[in-house]
Amino acid sequence: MKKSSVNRRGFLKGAAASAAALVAKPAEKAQAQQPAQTRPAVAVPNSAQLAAETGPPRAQVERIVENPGSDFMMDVIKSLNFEYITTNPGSSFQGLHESIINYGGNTKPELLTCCHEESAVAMAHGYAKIEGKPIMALLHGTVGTQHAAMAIYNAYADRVPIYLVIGNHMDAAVRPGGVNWYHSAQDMAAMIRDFTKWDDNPASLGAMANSSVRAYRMMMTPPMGPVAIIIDSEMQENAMPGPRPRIPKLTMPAPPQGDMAAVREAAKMLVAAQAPRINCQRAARTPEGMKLVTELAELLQCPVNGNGERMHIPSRHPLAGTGYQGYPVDLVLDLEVQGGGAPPANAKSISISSLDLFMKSNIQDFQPMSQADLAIAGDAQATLPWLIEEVKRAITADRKRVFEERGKRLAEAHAKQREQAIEDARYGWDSSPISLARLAAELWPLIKNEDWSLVGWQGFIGGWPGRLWNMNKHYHYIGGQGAGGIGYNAPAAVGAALANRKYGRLSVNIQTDGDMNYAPGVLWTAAHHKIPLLTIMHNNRGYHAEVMFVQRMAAERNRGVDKAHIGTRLIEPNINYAKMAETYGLTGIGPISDPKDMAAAFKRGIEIVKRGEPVVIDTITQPR
Amino acid sequence: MKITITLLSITLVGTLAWAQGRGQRGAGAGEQAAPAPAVNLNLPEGDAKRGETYYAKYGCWECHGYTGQTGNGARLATTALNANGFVNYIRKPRTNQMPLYSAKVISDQDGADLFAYIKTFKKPPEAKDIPLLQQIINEK
Repeated sequence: MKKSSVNRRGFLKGAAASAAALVAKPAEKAQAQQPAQTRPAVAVPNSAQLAAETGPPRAQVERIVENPGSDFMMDVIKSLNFEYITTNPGSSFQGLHESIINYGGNTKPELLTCCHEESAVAMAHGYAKIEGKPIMALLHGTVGTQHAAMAIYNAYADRVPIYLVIGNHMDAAVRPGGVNWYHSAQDMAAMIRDFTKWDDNPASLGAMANSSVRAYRMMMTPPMGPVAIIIDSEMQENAMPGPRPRIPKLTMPAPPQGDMAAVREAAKMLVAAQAPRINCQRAARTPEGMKLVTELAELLQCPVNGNGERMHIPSRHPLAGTGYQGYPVDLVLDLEVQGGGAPPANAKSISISSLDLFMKSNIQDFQPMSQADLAIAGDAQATLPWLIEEVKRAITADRKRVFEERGKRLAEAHAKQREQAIEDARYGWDSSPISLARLAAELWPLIKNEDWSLVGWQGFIGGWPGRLWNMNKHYHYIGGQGAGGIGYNAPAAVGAALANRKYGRLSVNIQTDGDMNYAPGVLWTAAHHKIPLLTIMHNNRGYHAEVMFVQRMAAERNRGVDKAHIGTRLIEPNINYAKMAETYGLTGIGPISDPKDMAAAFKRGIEIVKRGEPVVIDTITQPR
Repeated sequence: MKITITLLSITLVGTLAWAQGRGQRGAGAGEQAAPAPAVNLNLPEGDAKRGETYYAKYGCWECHGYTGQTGNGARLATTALNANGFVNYIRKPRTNQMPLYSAKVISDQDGADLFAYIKTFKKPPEAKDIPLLQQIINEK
């Protein structure tokens, strides 16, 4: 084979014979041999064109491309220090794919094989919430991006950084015919622009380097969110056209902090309030965020409401919760709360939110307009150290005594509420199907002495882990989907478990059946890449929220409710998740419907996970 | 792909205070209106066996669990209502979460049968008799 540094674009323009022609039947050959630029737009691919995409790889022409553009792209990507790249393979990034595994040595980042782009992005979502930094998801053209779109939107609404790189056959003049046209776009990022923070479609390697570094900065500056860089297939596959471009230095900007005068005013209001409460949604971006919120609460001796999306205060902390019954809230501090609604009657409210700095208009994820009396535009976590200092300055001895009394009352109430919440687990204790309270109660003693991490959402499992378990670290709970898009949980749990793996943590996911069935192939990814994760199925055999919605609708219309199962339940046949797991190469245990059988199954599952493998335990559960 | 729930994302210590779609409309999920005065319905005798089929058919288990002890709805296994109060309640629920069942949908006889079945539900054990829960309560 003769070495050549011929430009691929030039080669294709000059060559009459395409690779597809080598495998085409004679009748199709003539069409396939037309110069690319004169080929008409094709509505339906012919068999030769389909063969080019679905058949064996195109025969390689006698050429060796040295120093391909995708090697430089790999250098750029390596400079951003990603640990992993999640992907489902596609021809629009085959150049970069090859550079990742050969030129880049498939380390830092390492390529992870995913069975669906939604899984690839949701894995990155879960990973980022544990690790506090992103991984890269590599997507194929229009189809891969559309597959990924729901997961991108979830991450956007959850303010989670995900670095998307998307392949495209940009130049129609040299674009191979047929399927590649379906997979190409003139503005690839248009379809996800409503829910990404920034994107670019760089026209050169130098521009790609600049935009890649800029995208990383944009992504990580609060409010964080997904960004997308489109990479042209020609640019990947051709030799670098000239001198190696410079890769800009990545310098992260300090996160935006609230105005100091406003922070001082907020501190005065908080110290003067009789019954303040802190609401948190996505304030803690890092483990430090949880410490800061807890410190502020302890200074003020006021309750913290908000371990739903991130951990903000240990679950057994006496100030965790909304306060005692009748706690007369007169001031609410909302930290990175979207919307937040109106404060209680006669109460004032302060908001600190980076969303005042960046918001998009089309999709309505921003929630109702905040009712704040004092709104501070800035990142809550970055602002908290200054707020804490100002609160310290403003506290007098008299106020301190008031705070101490308030704290005592809140602590007493918290203890009672905690006891009541645990006692409520007795309901359904002996029931079969299994109650979610008992499931969480049986699991807790088996994990509490481990370094554990709950990597799934607890909204559909009654919040029982939060009620029964001692959650006091940021990775003990990472919240949910962001935008309520189902299909997040299973892959996000695998991504979070991936991040936990290097710390030796025991990752636990209580997984709903409806969510699992969106893209169960992520189980194979967990098995293939040896990602240890204990998945316990909350198998209630249906999309249970919707069963209730349809039932309520039918009742409102006075038409009878006996058909609410139609279109909402996963029965006839029932799905066996233990067998599903085994098919994907995991250990499957169950199904289990007797609560007395759970502990032994959980113990066995944990032993296997501690050996470094994923396990699925199928438990048949009560609806909620 | 679908979005199945509306989340009020601020949550309690673990008790998720999230509302569900239409459940938030009007008076708001879980908000209780003033109780309507119970009408004496002169209900017929209920049949628990028939009631068991109705419990499945009318989807009571969806919010109250298969044993009347779990779920988002009231704990039927420990209900303090009598049959008359029960049927009155399903005719005019006090929460927006609970669907309204007119006599066209659930007749008085069906209601009485349902109640007869509900009365067969076992009570849950006391928390003090469950060592696992006591252990968790005693943890710091």
